Amino acid sequence: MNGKPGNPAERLDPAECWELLGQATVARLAVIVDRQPEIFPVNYVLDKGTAVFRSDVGTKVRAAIQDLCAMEVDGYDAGTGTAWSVVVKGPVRIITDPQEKKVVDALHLDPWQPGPKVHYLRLLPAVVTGRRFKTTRPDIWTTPVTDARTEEFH
Amino acid sequence: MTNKPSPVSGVEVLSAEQCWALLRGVSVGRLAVWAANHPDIFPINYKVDHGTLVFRTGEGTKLHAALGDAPVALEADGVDQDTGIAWSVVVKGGAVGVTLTQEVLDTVGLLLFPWQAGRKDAFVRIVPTSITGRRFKVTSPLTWWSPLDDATRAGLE
Repeated sequence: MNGKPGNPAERLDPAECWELLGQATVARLAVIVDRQPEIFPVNYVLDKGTAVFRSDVGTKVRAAIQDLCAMEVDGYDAGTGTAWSVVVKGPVRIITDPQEKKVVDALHLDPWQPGPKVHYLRLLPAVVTGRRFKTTRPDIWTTPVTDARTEEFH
Repeated sequence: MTNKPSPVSGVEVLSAEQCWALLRGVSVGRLAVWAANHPDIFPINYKVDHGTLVFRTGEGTKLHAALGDAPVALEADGVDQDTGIAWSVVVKGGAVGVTLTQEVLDTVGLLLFPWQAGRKDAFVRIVPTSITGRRFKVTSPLTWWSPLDDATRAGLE
């Protein structure tokens, strides 16, 4: 499967993609604002087959992220010497319903950096794709640490 | 170089010099491009070269197809596990193809290691129009990535 010459990347099926998405906490979100790609890291959680995050992005970016967005999550598995990358594409909508926000809060969606993260945003996945590949230089890959969300986020 | 605190307390805005220093310290970034009618995003292995960023991509790949004259954005980040201080740098600019000459190989080619096995024969250079960066304490260092270790830096020589 992995690392065969001529077969550098293994495609992941959606179930594998979602499993990996469930293991990580930080993603990079790409949006187009005035024909210019913008990219920023976000701390996310999965909720009912969607990705939810909080952000304090400005009006222009907020308007843009209600169009199609792309969210990428990746990691490196030292045990197998493989890296993986999962991309979720779809529209993002703002969560306004207080009850819905409460549900999200219960998932321990704490922002990853200081400051008021006033907007609750939900990425509705239209396309989920993933790849796993042998790294020729595993040492250059940043290694996600064990997900410590359960305790650390309280 | 003094750093101005941003309006959001706890977030430090980095100077361009600081951004470049941080970019030199890691080699994996995420590249956002405009593919047809939507944004797409790819992890890439880059190298800083004279105020630009260079990376390889396979001919005929999705990434290669997405690169045109359209502007791109690259983000790199990291965290110091001891202090819990994280940083994020974003470079925006145009992506231009680089002809694979001996000069290119000498200056950047040999320093670039494909992070993915397979043939990688196209070089792309990002010529920045803007570079911005922030540094901040993450809510929990454990939720971020581990820093590059010394072996990494040694390996990159």
